[in-house]
Amino acid sequence: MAEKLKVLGKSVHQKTALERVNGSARYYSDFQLPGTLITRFIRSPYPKAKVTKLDTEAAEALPGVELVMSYKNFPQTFRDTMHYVGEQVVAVVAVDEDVAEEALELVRVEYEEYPAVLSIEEALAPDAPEVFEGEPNCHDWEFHYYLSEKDPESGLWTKKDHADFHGFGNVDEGFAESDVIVEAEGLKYAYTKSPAMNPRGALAHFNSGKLTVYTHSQGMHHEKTVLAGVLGLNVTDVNYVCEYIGSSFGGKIAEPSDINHPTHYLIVACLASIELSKPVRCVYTREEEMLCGWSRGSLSNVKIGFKSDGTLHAISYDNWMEMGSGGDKWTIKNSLLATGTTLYSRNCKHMRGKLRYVHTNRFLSSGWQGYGAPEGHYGVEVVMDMAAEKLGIDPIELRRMNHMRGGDIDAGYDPLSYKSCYISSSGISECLDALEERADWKKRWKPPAEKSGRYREGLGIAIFCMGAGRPGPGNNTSAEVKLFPDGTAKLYSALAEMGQGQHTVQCQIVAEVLGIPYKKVGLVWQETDSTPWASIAASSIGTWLQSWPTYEAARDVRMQLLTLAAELIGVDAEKLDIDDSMIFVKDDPSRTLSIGEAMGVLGIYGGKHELIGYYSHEVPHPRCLKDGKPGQLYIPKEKGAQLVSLIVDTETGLCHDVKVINAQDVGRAMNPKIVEGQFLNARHGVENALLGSDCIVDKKNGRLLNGNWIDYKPTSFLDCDIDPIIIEKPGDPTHPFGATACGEGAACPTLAAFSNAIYNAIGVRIKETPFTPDKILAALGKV
Amino acid sequence: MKTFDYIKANSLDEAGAILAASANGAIHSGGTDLMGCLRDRIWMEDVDVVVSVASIEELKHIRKDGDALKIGAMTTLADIAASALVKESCRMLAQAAQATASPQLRNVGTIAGNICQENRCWYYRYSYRIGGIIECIRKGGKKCLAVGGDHRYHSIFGAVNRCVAVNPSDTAPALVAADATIATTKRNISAREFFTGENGKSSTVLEKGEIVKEISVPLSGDGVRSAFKKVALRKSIDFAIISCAAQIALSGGRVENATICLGGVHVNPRPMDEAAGVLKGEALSDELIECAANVALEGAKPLKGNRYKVQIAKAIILDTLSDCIL
Repeated sequence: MAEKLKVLGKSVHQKTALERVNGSARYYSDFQLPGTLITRFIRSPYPKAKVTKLDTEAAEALPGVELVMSYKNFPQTFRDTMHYVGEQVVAVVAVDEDVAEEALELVRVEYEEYPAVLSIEEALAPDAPEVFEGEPNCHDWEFHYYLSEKDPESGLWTKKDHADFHGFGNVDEGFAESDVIVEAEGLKYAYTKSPAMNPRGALAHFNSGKLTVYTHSQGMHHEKTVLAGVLGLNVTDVNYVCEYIGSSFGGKIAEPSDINHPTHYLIVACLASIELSKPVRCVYTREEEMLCGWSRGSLSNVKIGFKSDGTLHAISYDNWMEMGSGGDKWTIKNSLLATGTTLYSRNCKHMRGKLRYVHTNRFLSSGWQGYGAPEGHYGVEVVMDMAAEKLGIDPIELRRMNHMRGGDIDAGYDPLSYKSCYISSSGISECLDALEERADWKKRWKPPAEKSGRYREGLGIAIFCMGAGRPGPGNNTSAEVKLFPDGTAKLYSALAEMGQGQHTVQCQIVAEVLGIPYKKVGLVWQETDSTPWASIAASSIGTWLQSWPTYEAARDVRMQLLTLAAELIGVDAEKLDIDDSMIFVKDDPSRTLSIGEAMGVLGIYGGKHELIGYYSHEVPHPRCLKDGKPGQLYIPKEKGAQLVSLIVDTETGLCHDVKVINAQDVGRAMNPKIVEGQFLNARHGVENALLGSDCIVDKKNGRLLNGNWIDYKPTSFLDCDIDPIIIEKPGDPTHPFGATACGEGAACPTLAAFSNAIYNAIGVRIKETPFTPDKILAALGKV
Repeated sequence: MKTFDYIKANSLDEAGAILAASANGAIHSGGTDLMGCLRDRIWMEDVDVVVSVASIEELKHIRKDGDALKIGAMTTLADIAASALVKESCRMLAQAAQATASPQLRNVGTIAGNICQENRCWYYRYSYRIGGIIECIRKGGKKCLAVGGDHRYHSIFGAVNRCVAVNPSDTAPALVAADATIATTKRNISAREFFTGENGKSSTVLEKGEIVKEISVPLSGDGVRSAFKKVALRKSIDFAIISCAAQIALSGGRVENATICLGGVHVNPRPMDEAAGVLKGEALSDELIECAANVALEGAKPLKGNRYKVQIAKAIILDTLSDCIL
């Protein structure tokens, strides 16, 4: 490889940009098969009910209706107990929409309605009705661990025991030793949605014993494997096709094995197609997507103890995560990232994190973008700001004193497989420096007491770290690279592209390793049948995890090529290099060979027509181990700092001139434009903070009132300005080119930064998101 | 959505006749509101005929005619917002058109469609697909569910026929403040009168088969200034929490005439005549404007969850009047 990178670090055009811009990209709805049947649902009108009578006979008799599905014939997917308004009761599969809708009206359903709980507060109340009969609404997280016995040499914890909280030290002692204690209770993160443009859906076609599924996916191979198991099919008889996703924001992972997981579109389409041996489409409307798309929301109490000089000493963190009537409880572990286990691991000596998940009679919740981390950051970074005020320390300075550094111990991540890890790199200090300068913080930041008049400027800051990578076993991922005599290469990689630029970056790696132009690298990703296994694109994992197999597979091909060339030139392969598609002798660059010449292809006979490299990456890669010792693992974090500036109109309660500056250390920006695009993830924080994002449910009937994009308001480009600052600190050992991760991070600190900016403007802390005019005006005493 | 006949009319007479003969016909002009209404089946009775008037060319114009500005019913909001004539003779209408929805919707949405649109109450608009319709007072229910439910965006001036939904149109308050006249296939109706309907598919007084033809805005003389302001959460594609249109005629440094109209506060765009009366004959000052804003909200009857709208309404009246003076 050339010493100086030629392709990586450049903002080359995205691989699939043209298709997406000119409309030729195929999303699942673009696949049209003759005779495709359409699915429509009857959904529960009650938040909690039992179906007492179901008569589908008339619907089944309607010409054009092919199948009516309910708990009677498909008990694995439908049930007679309803847990939220909108839970599926019946699905009708028919020749077209009109027939399907007519059939829905012919179905007779009677329900017995039961009392329901429609918020965390209601669910936690004594004598609250149970969401699931015989099961408490509130559950303690099952994977709390107490860490102890730190190894003096490595600094890592050596003992890990089940406990009723997660942490280390003794918080009671920690607070007794603290000079200043700051706490806040009831910090509420509203129930918000991942606003994916393309609603969930699938087209399934079962034919001659083989099932083809056209859908969206963040992890085709994983979903296919689980799906095959659920349907009782051989993995080899299922092909999963996902060309383009239509955005996801981390909220489109399917779990076909779990009836409580919002994957019914997939399982219904597949079961119906298998039953009828015809293609069946099951696609959600926007309203259905607003129900079934992933939500998040939580309530937290945070208490932090400091020494008088501002050194953070102890943290107690309590979180109640709303899960609705099912969903993904694993989300909650990420809320710890913002605490003393990771983000503030540098000085925190005593840590107690108590996590709980709470069922309500609302639609399902799972972690989307940030997967629990934004909720944790909201609580902790708000209290850090309160602490800065109490300690009389600049909010940036307080974070600078206490944030994690490279080499610090991460005691929160993946408690199942490791006791603790090393944080591979930080860069938060550099991010804070950059923000301070860009925002002219020292000159502009003033305490709220110094603000007056109708329009008041507010500046708020929050730092963050996001998971970025799962170090544990079971995360293997692979890639294949083919090289052809004309000097082109093809990468076979199923890692999902959902707008984060992974296709482009992986092709850049191939071009870099093989010494060929980026434009000469093609990509195959569209289906499971023609790609090797790839991990789920989640936890901001793509660049960190997938780069290894791409890199190693390309190096495999490169070595094969140079070995062939070495024979022809008559030198050792190690003495050769490739640049601009030409193989040359490093000591004598005038001695060259083209790729075609090296492969020996003259006409169609003889030589090699393709060289194939393959690599399956088992986590962790040896380069992720400190001093090469097993158990001493470096884990990268996505990390940085974010600053929000805004002007509060104290007469209307609206915020104007909203600007988010996101500074993030990405190790190496493989493609700077794509990295900047990733920073725009902060816009979800804008809608969650200012645009009223909350799944508003009528308190009596449990209906979702704002289940559309007019009443629930994803951010438009006019609502904020996002200024990206890329920080590059080379040398992170966990990636072949020193990149760390860049995905969900920018979405994590935004709500806290907004809370801090609004407090800075008006001097009143609003505890519950979103920060809408009604709350701001009430805080100002104007309502 | 239910199956219906779609008929492209070549003239308003033809369209009116089809509508009059239909059981429950609807008009298609820009279609931006109609599509949502049909798709979510928000009306009690299914539509049997949709008559398109979109291709009737004589309904697309903006011109000066005597002492009035005439705007054809099918003129798009984008054309109104961009029209030098509208900006010059009725600035608040151009501003209101510009504040509506998004560029794509303004390119197809028409002025007639904008003033005839359905309210946005989330109980009324609830999609039947998720557990069936909500039986609100407009749909055969016994009471308005917003009153006892979530009414953060609802009326602060009480109910009409027990319904507290608000008129969502941005151009409606501007037309009321401009004292515009709406010509239909049957008659001329003043803008004030036009929005006082209490039932039916919208809150207009339009009768079955009656179609909006043209809007006539009196040309204002020298010394007349107008402005429109809107408070909404999102800066693109959002309905107003509150909007305000105001027009002031100044003569010799004193207010000769003034009109103020609020949107988003009541089932109809709400003229604030008493507040405007405060201004008449007076020299404008910050104190006077504040007094007018307070008078405007004196009769407000906010619900428990929307008192904040009263404060916003005061602020927006101040801002709109101040903009008129600038």
